[in-house]
Amino acid sequence: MSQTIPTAVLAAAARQARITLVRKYTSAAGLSVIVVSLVVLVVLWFLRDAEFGAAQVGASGYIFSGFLAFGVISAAVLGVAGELQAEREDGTLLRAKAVPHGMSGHLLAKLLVAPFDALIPMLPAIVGAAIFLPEVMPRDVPGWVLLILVFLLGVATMLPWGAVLGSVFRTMIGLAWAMMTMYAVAALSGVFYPVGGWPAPLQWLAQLSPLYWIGVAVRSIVLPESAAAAEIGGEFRLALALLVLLGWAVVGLLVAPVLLRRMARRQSGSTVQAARERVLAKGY
Amino acid sequence: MPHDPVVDCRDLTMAYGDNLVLDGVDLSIERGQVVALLGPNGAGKTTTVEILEGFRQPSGGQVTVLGQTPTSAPEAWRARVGVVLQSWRDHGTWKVRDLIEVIGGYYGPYATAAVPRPWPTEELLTRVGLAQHASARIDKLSGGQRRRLDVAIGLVGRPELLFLDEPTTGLDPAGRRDIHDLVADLADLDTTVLVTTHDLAEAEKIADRLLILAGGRIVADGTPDALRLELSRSSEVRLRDRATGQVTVHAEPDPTAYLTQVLGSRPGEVEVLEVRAASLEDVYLDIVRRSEADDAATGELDTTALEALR
Repeated sequence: MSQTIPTAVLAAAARQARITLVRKYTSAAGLSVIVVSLVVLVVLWFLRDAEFGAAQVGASGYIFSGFLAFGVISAAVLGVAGELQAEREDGTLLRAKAVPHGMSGHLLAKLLVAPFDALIPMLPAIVGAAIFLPEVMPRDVPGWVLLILVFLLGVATMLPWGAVLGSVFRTMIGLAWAMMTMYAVAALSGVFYPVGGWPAPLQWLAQLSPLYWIGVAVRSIVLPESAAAAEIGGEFRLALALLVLLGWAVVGLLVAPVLLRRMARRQSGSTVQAARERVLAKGY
Repeated sequence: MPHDPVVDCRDLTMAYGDNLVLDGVDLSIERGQVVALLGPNGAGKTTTVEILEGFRQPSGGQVTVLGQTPTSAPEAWRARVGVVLQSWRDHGTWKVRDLIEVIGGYYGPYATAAVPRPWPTEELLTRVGLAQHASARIDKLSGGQRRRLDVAIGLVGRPELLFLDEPTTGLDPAGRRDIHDLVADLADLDTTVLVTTHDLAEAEKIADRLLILAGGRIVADGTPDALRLELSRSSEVRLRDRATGQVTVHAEPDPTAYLTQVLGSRPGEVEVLEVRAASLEDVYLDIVRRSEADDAATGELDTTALEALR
């Protein structure tokens, strides 16, 4: 038996991804995500002259790099985890399981959608900043290439962990707790600000999280060289950041399929029915 | 002609912890049959079907569906099986046509000269009565329309074996009739259909074989007529006296002798004569009640009903 996925299935997954994106971002609910982006743009504008830290680096640069880094994390981890959990209960995954290569195609479509889900909500802020606040953008073409690379690597790193969360937590309540934990980890990870001034144990703790390295990588591209003084060791360590992210991506890609297969195995009409009855009875 | 059942189960068991849901189910379904699986809540219908669909690993016994063990069958096997799920709220923002075409795309690699896959979208939507809703958003469909979409999704791969879970839930009488006609068409196309339903009238209408599951075992198996006639404990004779208008009701397992005697001894006196076999519902409830009572009393099921049909 061949386990290869037929080309037609890849085409079906690509079509599924396209339709998902079109349906999502041509609806009022889907477009509402750009509101946050516009708010960030306004904040950047008002803080354009404010400075942060001993290095006197513009605060808007820190806000913008934190926004980009957390955008990747939010879409790839929280977004995918929430979608998988919802799809497990609303019958989407069961429907995928009932067709040949359906589950593989469905997850592939999700993989294709994830970078756009990360990028589209940030696009207004990126375009606006490029026009009105060029100082917070990469300074040259290599900088842009590097930013795109970090963006894609960030999505590839975080996406499997989103799938892990979505497959492990069976209910919306459980997932909500996981997400709250994730926000706490993000707050302590240094994704929004450098942690060079923190006590050493907290610095080590922050560096255990891939979120920290995404933050460092984005800051190293967006902020001026002088901002490195606020980082751990007084440098950005971009190469190390890329290696660590790659490591996290490899581990995630090894773990996620195992848990996704387990989740798919457990998917049945009874589980969907049980979820439906629970929601009808309890409202969640 | 070789014996080639589409579904073949031997001594199928399923336990969730200490709870034995299926207790040695033997079942064989031939190609082209439309089989209805009936049973009270908790009888094991869903578990049985999910095992056959490959969604659940049985605790014991042998299961073969289209020549393969469902849980380890290749994707090509999945392409030959259609599942009509009871959907809820999936793909709400999608359009009907988009969903059918995307799901149909997964079946393309499994097309053969004899079985072109997938079923062309417009033709399929026309067949299930959704042609004019092809561009509608799925969350805007009525319950009945959504059910038709579920059926269309189950059929898009032109399955050899179709699992239908409560196919007409939420449908109005016209919609129910459409689905019944569709099932009849499928049988004409040699598609084997296994329907789970609580609706006895529906089962009687669309199925040519009924299986009644109770207490984890199949306690009755036969055609609707066979079940009704062979398992009914009594037939009811009602007659009205022409002179007095009085109605007399008489019930016994075989009323032939009574009828002969009445009609012979009272020529011209009987105005209305009605002989009614027990309804399928009577039979069903009787079988389930007896099997559950026996199960509770002895821990063993009374399978005399099944034996009677064999």
